[in-house]
Amino acid sequence: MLKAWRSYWAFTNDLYKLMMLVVVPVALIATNIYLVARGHGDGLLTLFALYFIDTVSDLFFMNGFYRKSNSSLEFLQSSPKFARFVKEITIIDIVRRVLVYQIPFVVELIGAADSAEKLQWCKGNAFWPWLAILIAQLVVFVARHFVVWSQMYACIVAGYMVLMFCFLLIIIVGSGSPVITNLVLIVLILVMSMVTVWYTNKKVRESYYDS
Amino acid sequence: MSLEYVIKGENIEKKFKGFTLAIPEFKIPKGFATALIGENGAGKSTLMNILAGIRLDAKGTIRYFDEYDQVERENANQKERIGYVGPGHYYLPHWTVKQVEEVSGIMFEGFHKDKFESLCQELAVYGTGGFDKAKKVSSFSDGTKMKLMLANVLARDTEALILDEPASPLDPLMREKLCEMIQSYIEEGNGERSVFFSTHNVSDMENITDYAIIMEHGKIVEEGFVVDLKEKYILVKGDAEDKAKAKEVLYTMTANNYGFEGICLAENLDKLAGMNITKEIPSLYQISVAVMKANSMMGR
Repeated sequence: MLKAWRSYWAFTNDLYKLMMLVVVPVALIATNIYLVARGHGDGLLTLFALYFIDTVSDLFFMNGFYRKSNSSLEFLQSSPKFARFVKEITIIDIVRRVLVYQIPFVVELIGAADSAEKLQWCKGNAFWPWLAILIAQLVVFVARHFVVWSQMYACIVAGYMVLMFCFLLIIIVGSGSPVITNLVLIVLILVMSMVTVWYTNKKVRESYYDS
Repeated sequence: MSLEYVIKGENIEKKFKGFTLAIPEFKIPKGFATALIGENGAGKSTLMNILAGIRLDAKGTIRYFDEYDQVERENANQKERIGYVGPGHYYLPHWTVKQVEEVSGIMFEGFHKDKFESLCQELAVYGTGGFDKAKKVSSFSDGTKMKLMLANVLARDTEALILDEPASPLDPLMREKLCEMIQSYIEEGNGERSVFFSTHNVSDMENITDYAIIMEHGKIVEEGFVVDLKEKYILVKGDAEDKAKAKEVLYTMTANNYGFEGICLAENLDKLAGMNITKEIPSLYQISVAVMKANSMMGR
C-alpha cells in the first residue's frame, strides 16, 4: 500500500495534491461543521459540489488517459512497471474518493450524537455518501474518455440526473430499509471500483497496439 | 574477433494503411553507435518503437543481447536494460520536472536522482532561470524537452539506448554535447553498451557513428560500418563534357557548366575509365543522400 501511495504521490502534481488532499477535505469539514451547527441535513448537500470538483479535477489527474490518441505515454510504456504503476494510482484514487466522501456524513453523525432524533435521521440517510461515491466513480470512469470540456460537463450533468433519480428511488422504495440500501450501494461501489481498475489495466495493454 | 549483436530481428513486419514496414533481417552491433537514417515516413520511428517495446503489434522475432526475445522482454524486467527516448509527447503534459524525477525513480530500478540532477545542470535544462523543478514539462521548448529526456535516460543503468531523433530539436552546441555524451556512454561501457539513434542530422552525428542503417519505404536499403561504406562508395568529380556518360554510372549527380560530382559504387569505377575524374572519400551524409535518392527514384 505504501508503494501504491508513493506512486500516487509522484503521479499527481502539487496543485492537485494541495486541492484534493488538503483544501477540499478541510473546506468540506469546515462547511459541514458550520451547517451542522445551524441544524441537521444541509451538510449532505455538499456532496453535490464535491462530486463536481472530483470529476473536473480528474481531467488534470488522468489527462485524457483513456483516449485512443494519447501520445504522451511513451515514457511510461518504456518501463516494465507501467501496468502496475497505473493500477496502483487508480486504486489509491478510489480509496481517496471513498474516504473524502464520508466527511459530510461523519460530521453530521458527530453533531447529532447528543440527540436521539438526529441520530435516527442520520441512520436513515447513511446511504447518501455511498450513492454519491458510486455516481462520482461512474462519471469519472466515463469522463476519462473525454478531453473536450463540453463532453465532460454533459457527463457530469447526466451524473446529477442519475443521482437525483436514485435519490427519489431510494426515498420511495428503499427508505424502509436503510441497511439493505447501504449494503447494495457498497457492493455496487466495490464492483464499480473493480471494473475501473480492470478497464484502466486494459487501456494500458491496448496502448501498445494500434487496434 | 566475432561481432556480437545487441538486437537482432527477423521478418519484422508492421502494416499501416498505405505503408508497410518489412525487414527480413536486422542487426545492431554491440558496443557501437548505430545511426538509422532515412526520409520522413521511411519507418524509422515505427522500427524504433517496435525495438523499444512501445509497440507490440508487429510481426517477427526480436532477440535482445542474445538472451531473450520480445515476449520475454515483456514478462520480466528486461525493459530496464534499454533506455528509450522518443520525439514529441514523451511525458504527460501536466508533469513537472520534479514529477519526472520521482516517477522515474518508481518506474526504473536503476534510476539515479543525483545523476539526473547533475545531468539536468550539465545540459542546461533549467536555462538561465536557475534550478526550478516545479516547471511544467509542457512549458519547455522542444529542445529543452529533449535535454530533459536525455538527462533522464542517461541517469539510468542501461546497456543500450534507443534514441529517436535526439539531435533534431537541439542547437548546434547541444548536438556537439549529445555526441560527446553518446561517445562517453559507449566508452564507459567497455564494449557492453550500445547506442541506436535515428537522425536527419547526419553530418552533425557522423563523427560518432560507427555503423549506419539506411531505410527507405519501410525497408533497409543499405547498412554497414561507416568505414566499409566509405570504401564501397566513392565520390567522383569530373569535367562537364563527361557528365552525360557519368550519369549512367553515378548514384546521384550534381552538375553545372564547369563539371559534375556524384557518388558511385567503387566496383563501378572502371566504367568511368577514360574520363578526367578525381576520386574522394565521401562523407556519410553524401552516401546517405545518394542511397536515399537512388531508392526514392526506384520507389517512384
